[in-house]
Amino acid sequence: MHMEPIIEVNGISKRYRIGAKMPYYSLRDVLMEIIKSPQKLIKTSSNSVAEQFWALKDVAFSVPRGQVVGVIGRNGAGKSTLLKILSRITPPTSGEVRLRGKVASLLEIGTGFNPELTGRENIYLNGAILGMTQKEIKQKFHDILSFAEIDKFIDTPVKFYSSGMYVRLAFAVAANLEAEILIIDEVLAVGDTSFQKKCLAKMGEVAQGGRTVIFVSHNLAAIEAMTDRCLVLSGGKLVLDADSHQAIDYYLKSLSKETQADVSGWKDRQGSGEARIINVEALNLKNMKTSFFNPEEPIKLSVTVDFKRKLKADVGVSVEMANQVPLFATQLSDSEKTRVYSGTKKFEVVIDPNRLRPSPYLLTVVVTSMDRQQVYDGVLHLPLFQIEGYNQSKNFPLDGRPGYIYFPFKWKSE
Amino acid sequence: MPYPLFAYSGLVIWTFFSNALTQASNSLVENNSLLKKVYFPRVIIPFSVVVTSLLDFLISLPLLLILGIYFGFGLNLNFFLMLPLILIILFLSVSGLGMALAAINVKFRDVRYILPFFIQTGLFVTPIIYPLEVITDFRYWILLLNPLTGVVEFWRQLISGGADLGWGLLLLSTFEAFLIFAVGLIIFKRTESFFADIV
Repeated sequence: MHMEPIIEVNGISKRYRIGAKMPYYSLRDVLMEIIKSPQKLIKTSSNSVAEQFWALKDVAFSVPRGQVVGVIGRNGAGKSTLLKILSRITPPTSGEVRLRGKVASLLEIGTGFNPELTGRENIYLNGAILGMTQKEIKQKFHDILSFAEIDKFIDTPVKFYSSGMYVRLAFAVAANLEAEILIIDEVLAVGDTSFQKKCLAKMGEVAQGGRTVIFVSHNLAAIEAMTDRCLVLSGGKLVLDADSHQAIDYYLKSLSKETQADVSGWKDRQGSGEARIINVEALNLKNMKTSFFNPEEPIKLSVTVDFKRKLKADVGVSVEMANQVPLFATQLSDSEKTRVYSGTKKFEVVIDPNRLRPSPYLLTVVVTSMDRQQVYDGVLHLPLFQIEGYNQSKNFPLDGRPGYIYFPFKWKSE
Repeated sequence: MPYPLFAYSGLVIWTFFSNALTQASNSLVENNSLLKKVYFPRVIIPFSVVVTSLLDFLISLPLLLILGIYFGFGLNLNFFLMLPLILIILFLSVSGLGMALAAINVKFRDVRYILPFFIQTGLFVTPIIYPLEVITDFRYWILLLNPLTGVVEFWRQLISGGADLGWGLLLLSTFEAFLIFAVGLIIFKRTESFFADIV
């Protein structure tokens, strides 16, 4: 029997008005405008094209019942707008969405929690807001409680909860929603690792139960593990609709084609300015600029510094995890005696052997005095490169092993 | 009817009306995080505010009854029988106005600052602190446009146990309340899909 798709999206577009005009409309201003120039009343000024912004443009796809679909794309690609339209919070400017089932959406964790109410009361309140009936919540109450692990505090007002408890309770309510279509935005970026794992496991369970899930995340590992199919959005357009493996691969490749993080406009910066880091690049062995490296592939970092005056300086780089915790650091004075520099100079270091596991990494580059007491210039937490782990490297799977560093240790068995 | 009871019985209704209207017209803006993140029928928000105010109104009634007994009017059955009718008319007119103002407030954020002046004016175009009889000329007809006029008059007759309850005026009020409710609902429904974008 031919099954109708549960979600059908026919060429939806969403336009927002932006521009110099302030978004805060007030009746007072409108009245003043009319008094100042009454002719405007007659010819209503239409917003110029420059003030329009298409958050989504002609997006079309359909989802069969029971499929788990991931949505990936950079910030501002239109992911959240798509979810908002799918969950009927905002209408599309054109096109139509057809949903053949009850929708529950979790776009932000803890929406509608009242801090004065107890955990128990909030479960009922939040459940009702998300569309559960009182009877359903009663049935699910035990599941919610055991998932959230807050039994002891269930009759305490949530204003006394720690933020972790708060998030656990909120997710527990949402995860137990009885809806045929579940729409989830990046909500797993909260809580500790073990709770994140629990959430992912729960979502897997939800999907096994035959429900349709639309899932947005920047956590590509989660997307790959959870979803069968992925939509890649870029600049409001649907650029690829394929199975997750292929889609993630495509997405990462498209990222590397875009220009690398621009140092000159980087906000997170410190230093006296006596020297200026004007360029930081990551290069592969063929001296090609790229953001993506295979595991164990040597990474050449090139730093160009403009010295405003003669300075005896040291250049250091530290590689950091995505959460800005440094993994290791290396500096020029490790290898050669530093000299007095002036004018524009280029410094290079090759990270080889490269023991980084697949993940995005940040780079902090500093130019300091010899005793490192004075910072001439520092570019902090620059997202410069990632280690790929999703394709071709069969010997280096993304297997959920903990840690960021990998060594080829030798094991022996009896 | 002694003036303290006269004024208080009117003020009970007026207090409910102005509180509920103020809160209802701010309700959407105050709950903007809900509007942006969850889908549900938007009318629930202004309705819930009005219902809460209605409960507060009911809580204030015992004091009114005590005052009535003190002035020698006693309890009468009619009062309790007609109370639901009064509540319905009040609910319809407040939520109708509230929905319209709430929707307008989403777009024009300064409505909430202008509104108190109009509500204050409303006190003087409703027979709250003066009896309707003192108005005789054309202004009487203007007062009839106010849905609260009939309700307040009827309400006072109920409390004093008068024989002529003033059904004619109440019927007019009911009609006006339904009209306001319908218009408010239409304004709300026509604008609600864009609340999440501009709130």
